[in-house]
Amino acid sequence: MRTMTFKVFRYDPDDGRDPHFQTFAVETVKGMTLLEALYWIMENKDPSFAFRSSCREANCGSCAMHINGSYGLACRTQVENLKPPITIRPLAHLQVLKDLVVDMKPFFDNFKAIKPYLIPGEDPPEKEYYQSVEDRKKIDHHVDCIMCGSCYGSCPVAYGDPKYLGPHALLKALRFVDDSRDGAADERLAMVASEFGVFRCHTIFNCQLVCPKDLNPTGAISKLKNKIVVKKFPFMKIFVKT
Amino acid sequence: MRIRYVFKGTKEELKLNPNVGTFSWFLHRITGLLLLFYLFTHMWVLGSANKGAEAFNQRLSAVQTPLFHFLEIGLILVIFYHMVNGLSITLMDFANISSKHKSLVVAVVLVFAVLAIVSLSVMLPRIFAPHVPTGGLA
Repeated sequence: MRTMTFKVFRYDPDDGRDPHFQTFAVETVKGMTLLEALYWIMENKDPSFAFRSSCREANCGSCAMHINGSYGLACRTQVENLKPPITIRPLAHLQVLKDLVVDMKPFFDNFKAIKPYLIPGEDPPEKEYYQSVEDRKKIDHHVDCIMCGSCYGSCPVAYGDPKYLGPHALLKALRFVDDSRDGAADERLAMVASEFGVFRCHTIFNCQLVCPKDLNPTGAISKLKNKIVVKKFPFMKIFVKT
Repeated sequence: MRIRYVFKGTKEELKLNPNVGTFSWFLHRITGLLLLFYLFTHMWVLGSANKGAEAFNQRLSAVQTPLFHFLEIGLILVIFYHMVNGLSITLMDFANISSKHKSLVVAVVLVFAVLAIVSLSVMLPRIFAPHVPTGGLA
């Protein structure tokens, strides 16, 4: 057992106080995750402490937050790997509702804007859609995104421009563009080539660094850029890699 | 107000994401603004050529002072940083090598260092040498 200091962001719109940090001394045990430590605070110190969580195994993406200088999932962060005082903040670029809970609506609105569902180009086949192993491998990477919001929080472009689609939405856009069963690639490319799409990305690489699933939204955005460029100027095929 | 909002946020972004990418993005923006400022100064000097040789020589000699020679060192570094970083981003996009970000950063630093050392080794002796008026156009 080891006592560690936690500095946690607190904000309650009802109590009239400004946002502030509150310090807690948490008794940690070996193998304790950050999420368990947050639950410990809620159960033993302050029952009004609010945060989001669900699956506890890095599958639902609810518990993404800013932990000691980087974004990540609380449930897959070991407390003993963190340097005290452990500073916890909510996700940036989204409005704080209470403590570590943010309003994810703009985040999911951006996601919906890229039409995140299959739009088949032809009539549905009699049985299921066929996809070869090679074609499936093309989207292997992108389907793993759990929509936790770490990339969106870490993206400085999302701060300056709330209309920017964000790394999560653009990664998912590539997931459908690369899908052999999808027939709306042109429509999607036109959508992400807009003012608030891929060309707003400044290639800062924060999204790639923080992604808890080790995905590469920066690479997805550059791939989309190349696809758009080749669609508009076919001769560019010799210069860019799509 | 909007500009103030963006600048305030940039400070916060640097604090919350202390990554190499955030710093290079910040430097790229700052050097871009400095280059814009330089561009106008540059045109202000060159534009005087429209008013004849006399005016041009006069304005050119105004920027041939030790202060401006010192600023020229900064200008060279600003140009090289903006150029090398911009080229690396273009290369990253075109060749789709985003997974090799760390190697790219190392390459940017190395190329920047080589360019800076070569150009400074040419510039510094000239700056500290006594100023010889060339006479200009007249």
